Amino acid sequence: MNPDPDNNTPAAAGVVADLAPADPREHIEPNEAQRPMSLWYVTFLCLFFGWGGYYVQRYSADYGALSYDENAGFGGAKTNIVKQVDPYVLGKRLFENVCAKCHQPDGHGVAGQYPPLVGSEWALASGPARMVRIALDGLQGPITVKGAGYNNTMTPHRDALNDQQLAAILTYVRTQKEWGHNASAVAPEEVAGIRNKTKDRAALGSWTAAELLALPDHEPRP
Amino acid sequence: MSATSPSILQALSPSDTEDVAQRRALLAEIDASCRGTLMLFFGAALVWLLIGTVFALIASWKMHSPDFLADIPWLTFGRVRPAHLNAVVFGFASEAAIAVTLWLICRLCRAPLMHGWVVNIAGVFWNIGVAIGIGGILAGHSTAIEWLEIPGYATPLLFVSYALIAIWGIITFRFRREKHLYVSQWYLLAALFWFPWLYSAAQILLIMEPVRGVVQATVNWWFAHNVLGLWFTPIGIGAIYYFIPKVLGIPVYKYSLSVIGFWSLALFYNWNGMHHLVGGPLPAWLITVSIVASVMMTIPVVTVGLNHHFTMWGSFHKLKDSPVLRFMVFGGMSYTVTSLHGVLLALRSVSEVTHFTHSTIAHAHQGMYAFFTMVMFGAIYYIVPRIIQVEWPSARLISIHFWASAIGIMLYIVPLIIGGTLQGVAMINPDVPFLDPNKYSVVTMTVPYLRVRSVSGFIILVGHLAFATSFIWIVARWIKAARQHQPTPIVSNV
Amino acid sequence: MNYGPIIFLGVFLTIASSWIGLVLIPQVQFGRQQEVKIEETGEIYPTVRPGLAQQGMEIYKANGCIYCHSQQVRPEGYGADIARNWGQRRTVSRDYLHDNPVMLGTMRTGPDLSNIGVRQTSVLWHLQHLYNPQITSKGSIMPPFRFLFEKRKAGDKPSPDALALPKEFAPEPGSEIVPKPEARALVQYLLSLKANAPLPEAR
Repeated sequence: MNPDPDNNTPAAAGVVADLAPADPREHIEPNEAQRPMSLWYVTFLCLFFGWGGYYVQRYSADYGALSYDENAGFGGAKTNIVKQVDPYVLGKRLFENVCAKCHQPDGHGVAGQYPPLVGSEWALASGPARMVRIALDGLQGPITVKGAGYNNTMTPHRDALNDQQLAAILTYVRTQKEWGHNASAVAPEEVAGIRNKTKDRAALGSWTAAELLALPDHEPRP
Repeated sequence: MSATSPSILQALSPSDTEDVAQRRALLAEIDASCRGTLMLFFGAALVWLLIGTVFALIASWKMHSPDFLADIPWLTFGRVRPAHLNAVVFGFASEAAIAVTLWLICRLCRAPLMHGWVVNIAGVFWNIGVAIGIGGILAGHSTAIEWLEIPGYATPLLFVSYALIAIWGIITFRFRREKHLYVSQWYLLAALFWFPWLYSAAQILLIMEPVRGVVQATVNWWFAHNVLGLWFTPIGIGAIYYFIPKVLGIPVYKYSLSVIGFWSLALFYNWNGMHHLVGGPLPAWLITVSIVASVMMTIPVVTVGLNHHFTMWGSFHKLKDSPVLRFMVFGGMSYTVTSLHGVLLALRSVSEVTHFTHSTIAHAHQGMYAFFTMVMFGAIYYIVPRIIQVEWPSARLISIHFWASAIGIMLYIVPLIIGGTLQGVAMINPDVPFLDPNKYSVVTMTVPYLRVRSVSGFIILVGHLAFATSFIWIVARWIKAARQHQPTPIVSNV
Repeated sequence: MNYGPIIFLGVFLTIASSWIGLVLIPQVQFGRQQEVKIEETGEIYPTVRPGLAQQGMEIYKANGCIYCHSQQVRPEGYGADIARNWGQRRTVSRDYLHDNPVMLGTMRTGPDLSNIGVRQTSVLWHLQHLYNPQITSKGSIMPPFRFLFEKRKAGDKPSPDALALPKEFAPEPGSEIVPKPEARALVQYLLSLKANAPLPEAR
């Protein structure tokens, strides 16, 4: 095969290197042909320009610095429809994204580091009062779960999760069928009640196991 | 290989008219004037290409095997990845682009490169700048601004070298002997003018005197998208516009399409950047404007695509014989595909899925490699034998290079676009966990695709090694010929 | 188009247009935003990062965390950012006033970090995760950052700085793993990432 098959004709004879024509096989420099524009093509251009103008006007809200919703300002602002989600489904979703970081997706925790939730006497207590407190303001220091000791910190979620979300997570943990859990569900109102009652807790730091054990399982009705 | 068209015979016949003979002598003078400069740039580009490929492989391997080389701070993923990007973008691609641009400008202006040593010095400093910059990134001095990671202490060097090169290109243009401005020249001159504007504006507003808050993000993506849109793309298109008709010996299909293609690119491409921030903390209008500009890119893409396609029409069989044409046509077709894919990715509904996923990475490689790099390879294969008057030693190596690069990059892009899209579909579904080692989760589902990417990287490396071998071989022949003062004739074995 | 100056003029005007549209106008329109007082709490938002967190940002920059982690929450109903609890609301321009550089990111190989300081406040968790992501996040493809820690000879009892590790990740007996100042600073930076103030424009 010819090493440089771009050019496939014999060399002109008598090529002198220093003043060699660039490449005797090479075509002359390229040029453009003149042809009329097709009507289809002009129509194609017009369609695009028309669409572009419409789209900018339609989806720029009011061109404001703080207008983030592209539909606002055109009478079409998205209303915040809160979708009703089954608390178990919502709880599972949030568990996987929030709790599984430490307690692991399978709920078994990390030996010696992060206590398990599966079969945990804390999670399955007859009432959720302690669980809600731990989830709201975290937990610090030594704790015994299923006979094993742990000494770590649990993240507070007071600012990160609302009542509905916390209730959903706790409901999920307490009723996870695959883990064999069958405790009572947690209502958002219960979380709201405890949140309000302990609203000064954040300033005092996370709970300790001893403090929590001194509290009843069920929140006494006010 | 005997298919010769009448025009070739005419151009070759010993009875060349005086005019044609004179033109050829001029082209030879131009090629000779570019020799040292271009070989410097091509050689350095090749070195950066190999370095960049190795960084790419390390980064790719780390993505599915995070323990690989994990204890060496300067080889951690977050440093190797920007080192790869800057090596291939500012080392390889920019240097190849500069060399090809200078040569095309000289040839199309019919003006030899004057005082090439100035450009050589700029080239040396450019390389020093890139080397310092990449060393800085590996040492942990990255600015963490995408496409601008090179630390502030190296960028003035890059900017001054670049300015010198661009000025030289424009001076050459000023002393042109050819009145007619061929379409490639519009693109090349525009690129020479656009890049320093972009680079200096971004440096000043992001690194020297940073603007406050998310305006940084708009400047960042205005710059980063335009490096592709206003620097590499015009040079890539300009090169295709030159080489396809040049190799075929026929004119470009339609002048009016050339004009519209150029001005619509100039008008729309620079407004595209904010489509990287869809859903981000920026006002709706800013993102909408960029989405529209991205969709309007259909006009230049389709226009240029049609112009190239109809120029090739009826000559596709020549792809079999001409490696240059093969690289160019592969690049040109990739440009059309990647740009139309980009139009889709910019739409809000598509971006919701694909933004933040590997499909963006695949798209970037489709543009930078399947389009631009392939065009540069083709151009290098055409230019080098002409400036040093030595033939490529092995057609087989060129063939290996083409097929390894073409198959490698397709194996990179296609699975990663699919994998990235599936990743996005999983990510926007809150019921798919983000990470769970035992279930289908956003993180774990990508791993098989990332492994395929590493395989594709090795195939591409084979291509680059074939290219490097060819290049070293031809340079060795050149040096040998120069020592003997007997240049090898251009056609060695017919 | 054989007239050079026309090409230069056109080329100049096109790039100037986008420079004005995408750089200058944004700077004029929202480049000088100010802090605001949050009605609910009476606090000024956003606040400047404390020094150690600022040092941690340099570690975040140097090691290219941005290539896998974004720092932006997309609005409710667009993607699943809020459903995944990466934030309780979308992020807006005011959230980034004191970030330099602003590291919005374009990739989510790992989760978004806009609110990691709200979502995970345990320093120990972060240190374990940085030392080896497999401890806390099995199956993760994040690289371990062991070079931000040092191995020391342990005294008679573990020093207070030593990192608690599960058995399979612990060093051989007699030595202990201690986070370097870089690791501690990085964790402080992560803990400082909070975009949860109830801004009116973010609803």
